[in-house]
Amino acid sequence: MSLLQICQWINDTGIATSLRESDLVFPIVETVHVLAITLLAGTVAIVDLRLLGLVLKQQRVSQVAGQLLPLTWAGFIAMFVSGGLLFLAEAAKSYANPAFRVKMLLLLIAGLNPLVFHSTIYRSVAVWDDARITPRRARLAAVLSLTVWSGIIISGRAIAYY
Amino acid sequence: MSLLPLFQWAAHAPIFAVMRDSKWGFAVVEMVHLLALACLGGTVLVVDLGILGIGLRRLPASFVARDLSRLFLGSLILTGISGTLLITAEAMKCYYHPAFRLKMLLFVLALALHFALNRRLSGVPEDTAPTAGLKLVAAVSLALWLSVGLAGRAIGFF
Repeated sequence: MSLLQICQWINDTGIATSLRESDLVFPIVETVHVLAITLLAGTVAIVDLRLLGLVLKQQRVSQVAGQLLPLTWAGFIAMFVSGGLLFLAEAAKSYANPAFRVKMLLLLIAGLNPLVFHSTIYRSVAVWDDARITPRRARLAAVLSLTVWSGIIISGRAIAYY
Repeated sequence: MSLLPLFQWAAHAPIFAVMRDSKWGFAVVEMVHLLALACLGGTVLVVDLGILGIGLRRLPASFVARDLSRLFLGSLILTGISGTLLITAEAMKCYYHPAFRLKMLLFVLALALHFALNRRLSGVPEDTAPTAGLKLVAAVSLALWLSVGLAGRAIGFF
């Protein structure tokens, strides 16, 4: 079965159809998806800005990152569940939507970035925890993260325009 | 004084034609509005939840609030400018829209409470735990900002 056929099948399931045709549930799920940006992208941005030495620079990197992580995860769960439901409802339409494809690609990068970051430069965080300006690779990861998350928000909004 | 003439002017002003007539003009401004919202909402969440003991709870709330105030103001200005431009695209719809009116009311309240909270925080010594009163204000602030977002989203739904 091709990816298109899978999307078509998801699109035609009972739950997807009732979501799509609901006057109330669909807008509510969409609103949760939009407002949870603040929890996910907002907290990610604050950690990135700390790595760049722009906010909370008198605080330890590990303290800011560690304490905000539960909020980021909460935001991720809210985004993933609501986003998954939105995709269910419009699976066939999303498949062909260029903005949706770009967004999925950016999401992959956004997921890989912290994996690489945590398994490389962040391992030595104890050495530069107090530094106002963090090592170059940490700043690079922060810039990449800010760029990719902005791209995700932009392409996510653009889905509605195609 | 009624704000009606101002909205009527915005609805027809040639300077805002790109907002009314171009699909991507509106879209780009809307994207900026969302990006700034992520930073504004993120800052509010981190400060208010920190007072409530969630997230940055081991850092003094007064310190966090002062440190993040530039990020808050920057994203506030950006949401304000982009939001105003979005209004000009549908000025008359907004003027009569109950969700828009509610959003503006809630926004003014949330902003006033935010500055009141910051003033109170600046008088709190860094090593003291937030009082119950302060926690209540933080909870009300969170609820108000959430309502601003809900009302804002509702403008697009009807």
